[in-house]
Amino acid sequence: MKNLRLALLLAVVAVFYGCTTLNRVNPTDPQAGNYIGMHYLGAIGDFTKLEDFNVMGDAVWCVDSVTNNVYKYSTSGDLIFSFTGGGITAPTGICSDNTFFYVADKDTVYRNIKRFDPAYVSNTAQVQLPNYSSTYNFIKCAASPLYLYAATSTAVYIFDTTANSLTAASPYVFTNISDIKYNPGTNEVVVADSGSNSILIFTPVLTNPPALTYQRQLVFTEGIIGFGIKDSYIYVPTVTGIHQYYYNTGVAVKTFANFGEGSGKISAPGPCGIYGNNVLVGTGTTIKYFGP
Amino acid sequence: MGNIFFKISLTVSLILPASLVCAADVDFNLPHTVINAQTRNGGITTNQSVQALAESQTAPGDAGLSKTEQYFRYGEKLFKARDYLNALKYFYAVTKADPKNVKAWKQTAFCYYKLNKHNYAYNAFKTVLKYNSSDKDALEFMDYYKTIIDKNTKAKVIRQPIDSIWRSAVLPGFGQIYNNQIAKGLVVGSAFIVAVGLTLYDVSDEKIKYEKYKKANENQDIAFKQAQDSWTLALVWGIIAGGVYAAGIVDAGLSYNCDEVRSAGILIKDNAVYLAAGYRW
Repeated sequence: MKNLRLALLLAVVAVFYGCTTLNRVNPTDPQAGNYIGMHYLGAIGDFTKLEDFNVMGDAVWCVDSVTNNVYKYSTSGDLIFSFTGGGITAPTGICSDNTFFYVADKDTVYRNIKRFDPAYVSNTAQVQLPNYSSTYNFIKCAASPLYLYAATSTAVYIFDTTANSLTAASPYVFTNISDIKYNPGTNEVVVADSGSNSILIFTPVLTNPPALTYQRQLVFTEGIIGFGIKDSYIYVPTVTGIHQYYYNTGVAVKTFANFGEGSGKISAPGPCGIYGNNVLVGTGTTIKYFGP
Repeated sequence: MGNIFFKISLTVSLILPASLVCAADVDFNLPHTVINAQTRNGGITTNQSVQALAESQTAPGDAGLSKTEQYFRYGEKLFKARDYLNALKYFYAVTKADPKNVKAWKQTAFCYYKLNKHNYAYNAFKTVLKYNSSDKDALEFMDYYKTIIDKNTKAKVIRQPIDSIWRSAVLPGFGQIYNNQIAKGLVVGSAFIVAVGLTLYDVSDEKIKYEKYKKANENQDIAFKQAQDSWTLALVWGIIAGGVYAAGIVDAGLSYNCDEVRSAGILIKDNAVYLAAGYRW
């Protein structure tokens, strides 16, 4: 009888052990109780050296500084087309004003920003800003409806896109600009300086000539390259994931893309963009896509 | 469930230990004609033939002896010469002529014993004790036979369902094997081992996959589903293992006194002993 009881006890223990229900406890799992709110959805593109990208409508425009190509991808990840030439040499930045897109590159002949109409895109730029050879090495750009903000590694210049003229330079001196964006919600120009690991926020003063007035800055302890702005939040990819902050105060909200094993992790800073409620981060060879 | 029942018949004289074990089931009160029938192989089947054999064995010193004394003496000579079959004929002839001759009955019993015909030996010793209840040799042999009979009877009496049940509980299939349902026991045991093995494998697989899911930062749904599938498989195999385990116990308890239990080993029927093997579902 002792043996029988022992066997029954062991059987019951084994059954209970085996019957432990599985709970969804992964913080990146949207169906888990402890879901962090954002998770990896996939990747867009396959690049040799992705320098920058810009979301315009339902398309993601990307530039590769090795293949010297401009790529247009759908937000679902399909390559729509790509082109090279048109005077583009080693492109390093791309931006749009929702009408045109602009490419900054390391062209050492004209040293200008090239404008393309996405509806009639070809390998020939429609407009070059400025339309003469400049002495600046533009690497990044941001566009508002009336102005184009073109950045070298240490300064930001303002173009009047209507007059196609270089109107002003920001008096602020940067260490090493890695990204620049225009925030239409607040009418501010935001500059990432990877040299000082800070994001600086300026207000354009549209006097004649227009200029940028410094407002505030967010300083990081980790290296940064790009950022994305969505409503009242700013997203910054670093070696420890994507950090979400309040845009106005710089107070941290949460961090995601920093968990577990697999592709859904960001372990280096890179260019960043927003599409709807989704955050896109460039890793050099692809764009990782995160959403709620 | 169908019945398949095999019996392998052997004559009692071929298997001494088996015939001893089965002595308890034998009807020892056999008519002496059976003995004559047993001796047909020697070509002598009647008392007349015994007499003819006796005359051929006559020696000069036997002249003054009665016929029963002569037969007894001849029997002894043959017994010493280890010709037990022929010696038996003389001793039997003496008992026929003088049914109260204890010595002749005892020698008859010894002959049967030597010939491994223990059921007849038992009967002969019983006759010896009938006429001389203090005969030491007969008492010793009867004690020996009774010990075996008691042991066999006792073993049958104490067999209870719990004997099979606890064995099945400890090791599935063991109860069936104890019930002499060897094939069924092996099938139940193997099925249980396979089911438990697959359960453990799937439990282990589920743990690995669940850990993988917990760490995954992409395709969480797929990872979780894989873990869940392994969990379901583990549960199914666990239920099968539990079912086999429980069914094995119940079956062992129900079959504790089945045909195989009764028939396995040696079966004595119609004055013959069978080596029997049972196979039943």
